[in-house]
Amino acid sequence: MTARPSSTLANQSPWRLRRKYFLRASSARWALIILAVFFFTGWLAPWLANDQPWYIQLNGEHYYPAFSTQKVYTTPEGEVLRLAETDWKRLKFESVIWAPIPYAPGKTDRWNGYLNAPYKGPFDAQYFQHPAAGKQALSWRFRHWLGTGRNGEDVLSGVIHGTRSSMGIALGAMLMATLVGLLLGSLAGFYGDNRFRWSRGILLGVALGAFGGFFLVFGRKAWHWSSAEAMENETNWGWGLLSFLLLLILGGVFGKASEKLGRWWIAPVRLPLDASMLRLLEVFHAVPHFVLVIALAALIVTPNWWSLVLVLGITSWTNIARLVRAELFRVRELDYLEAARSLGLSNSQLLWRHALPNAISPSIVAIAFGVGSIILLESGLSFLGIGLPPDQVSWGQLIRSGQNDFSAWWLVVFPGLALLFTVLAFNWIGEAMRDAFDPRTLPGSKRVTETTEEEVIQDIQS
Amino acid sequence: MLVYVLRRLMIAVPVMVAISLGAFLLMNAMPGDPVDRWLASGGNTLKSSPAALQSEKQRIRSQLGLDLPLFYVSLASWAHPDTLYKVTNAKKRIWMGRLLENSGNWAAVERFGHAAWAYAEGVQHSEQGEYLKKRLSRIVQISDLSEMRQHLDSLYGKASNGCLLSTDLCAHQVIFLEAFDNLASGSQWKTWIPWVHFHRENRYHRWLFGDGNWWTGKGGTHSKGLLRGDWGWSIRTREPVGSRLMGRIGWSVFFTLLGIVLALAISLPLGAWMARKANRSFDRWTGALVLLLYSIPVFVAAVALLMLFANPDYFSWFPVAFFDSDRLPPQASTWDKLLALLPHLVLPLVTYIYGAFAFLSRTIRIAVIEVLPANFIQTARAKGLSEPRILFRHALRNALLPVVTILAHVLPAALGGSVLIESIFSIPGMGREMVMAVGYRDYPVVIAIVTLSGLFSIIGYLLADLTYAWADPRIRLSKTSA
Repeated sequence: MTARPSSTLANQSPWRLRRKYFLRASSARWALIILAVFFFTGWLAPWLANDQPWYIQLNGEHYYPAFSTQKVYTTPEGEVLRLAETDWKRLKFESVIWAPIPYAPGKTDRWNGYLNAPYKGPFDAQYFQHPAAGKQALSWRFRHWLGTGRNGEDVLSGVIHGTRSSMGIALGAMLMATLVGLLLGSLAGFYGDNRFRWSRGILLGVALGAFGGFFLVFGRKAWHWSSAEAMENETNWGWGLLSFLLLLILGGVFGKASEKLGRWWIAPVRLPLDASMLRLLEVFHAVPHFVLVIALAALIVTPNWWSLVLVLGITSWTNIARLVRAELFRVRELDYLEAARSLGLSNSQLLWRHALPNAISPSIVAIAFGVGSIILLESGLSFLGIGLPPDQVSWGQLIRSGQNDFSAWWLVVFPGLALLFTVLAFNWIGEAMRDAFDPRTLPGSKRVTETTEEEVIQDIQS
Repeated sequence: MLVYVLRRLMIAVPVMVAISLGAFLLMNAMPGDPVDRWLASGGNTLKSSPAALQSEKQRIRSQLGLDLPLFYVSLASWAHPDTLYKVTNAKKRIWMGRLLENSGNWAAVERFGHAAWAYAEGVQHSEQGEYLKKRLSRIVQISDLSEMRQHLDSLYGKASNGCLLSTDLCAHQVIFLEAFDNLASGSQWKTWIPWVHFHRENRYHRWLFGDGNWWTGKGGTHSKGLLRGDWGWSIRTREPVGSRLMGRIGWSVFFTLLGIVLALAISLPLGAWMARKANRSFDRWTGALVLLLYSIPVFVAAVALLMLFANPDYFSWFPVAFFDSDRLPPQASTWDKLLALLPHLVLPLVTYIYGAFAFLSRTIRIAVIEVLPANFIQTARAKGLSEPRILFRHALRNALLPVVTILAHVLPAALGGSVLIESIFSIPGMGREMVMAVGYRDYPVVIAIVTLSGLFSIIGYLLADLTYAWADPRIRLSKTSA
């Protein structure tokens, strides 16, 4: 590297420097602000947009419906309030504090939905039916700021709750993809084809564990715990995978114990981790990502948050694994690792403590870009109607409902803008990170690309 | 070069096999009974009598190859018979499998299962009371033996020898009550012993080689096999998958190729010019605009375009529905058809182009920036060539190599990326077919599309690698294939 450490650089850790150069880009700062807003909006969605009031006083009693997990209240007069069903705006309270957006996503508002006209735009006149005075203009407090859907569903509330599902699914899926990608990529990159060795005992133990696990999970299907669910098509894959993993580990432990049996059991066997990981990578890489995702989505009977995280996470790890592997190929040949090895550190210490922290920066950039692309995938799935179930609002689903009737532009524009800004923010963060992590941009070094570009331009103009 | 080609092919073939095998095994695990979906897609056969329905289901199962085990090898328990997969009804099959896991005695399970199922079905079709029907429909879901005994005792405890029902159903009742005792005294431990079963005839073999002779293909009745170009039957449309996809692939390839060519025509000069003006205000503003375009999701852009330009409220310039040649008069000439087609192409093509162009121009900009400081550019300048000539003839040409790789990745990915565009503009292409197949769980079509797109990708990557190796001798001479 051309970096010439100056005195100010010497006492600064590389990560602190990277953070400094990352924050130097104005787009990165904007992106962080945008994402913070979206993150907190999503996190606080049930309290920001809810048709249940934050606080009510009814017959002298205090209630906090929006914050309560209790589903049914009975007032002293015997009046039953069902939180999910009550039309709160019909009720008379002694005092009440509404949520900032007093509408829940997907709930109909018949005075601004199908009774008057199927949709209400943000600028249209909106009404409500007063019990005594009849049809009246809606006050600004209860306005549908971003319009309504066909049956009067509040769009702003939908966008807010959609933030929750999009961000939640994308972050969950990326976490899973990162874990899988880092694990597979670092194993392949650090050990290569020659360095990973298991004793025959452990190998046999793990193979036996895999055989037994496969038998229990796929052959005997022993994870159906109760007979009542036997006829349901839903199979409990979580338990299946858990018992599979457990048996693998159990096999390994027994294999380790079997090393005491004699010399034959200890003899090391070379495992070609890199070659096998590359083949797996090629298989995943060959099928277009979106095709793979919708094919896997067809396997799920009732899609939910977890199944989407699983499907998106299991298909998105390839980039991270590829980058970590390539970087570890470079890092593992460096002198400092050789020095650490000569100190007698074990392979796993070398990998996780010393090699990986120096090889991780390209994959962090990939993670930033990856979250953006997972959000796009998720909303694309919801748009096609194979993502989250209809009772859970997401951006893609709102846009899908806008596709049905072209007069309601607000159904496409506002979720689309939310989607655009989220993806843009993640792309900005990715770009700023890529610049900040590039050793050529460190101060004291000549900024290779930029200076040469300037020279070239001067040359061209002279 | 030949050695390199062979080495690449040797990697590509196993990957292809792995993709097709993975797709096949996963898609056969699709929930629900494909026979029911096949029947539902026809509509009118449902009204026939139960017996006719049974034989029809049997026929469909053998046509789709569902009466065969899944793969060459299966891992089941020692108590598992070789014949369970032959049970026609999927729910009954699962139930009997679960009974077997709790009993271990296949002979008894077979007797009990068939008799109890026939009995329950008979009661459902008879005039018996609602209570009995309800109880029986519950019983044929229970697999826990002690639970089953409680139910049977409470129903038949007092009348275990006598009959509750008419004579023909009575025979079943006697059989399954008798068989239940054998069921409970089965050797359940056998179900915990793993046993590997081999199947010479299986679905995967049939999918690949057909149901005739695997080499000559003679003697087959239902399928010739994938290797002879037979992709099986679509459950949704009851057509052969191959011919169905053949009619779809044209539109996908047409739009993808035309879109890429047009996107290249825009992004090549734009990218080169951005590189020349690197870090100037032109580059900054265009770069920001391109990043903005790049971040707009394709489907949002497509719906917005439709809303704006195919909407009587704003501009009704383009049609919403896609081109349908049947709606033209039959005497229309090819020229008329082309003219009628044109307005249908504009909005989809705009969507295709903008998605690819944003990405391409950014890549080209970076590639040209890396080429510009090279010595041969200085030489060209020293020769006194004009700046545009240097940029477009010399710099751009050498920056094209990375673009070749991207094209190899874009072409197969466009097949998947066009899923959304084709669905929105209702273009009858592969992507839309994929969405409809997934919606109907039409697994033969899904397998075919996944395998085909894998094939396209591998061919694309192979071509890109070969172009690279042809252009850059260092690649084909180095041993490491990383």
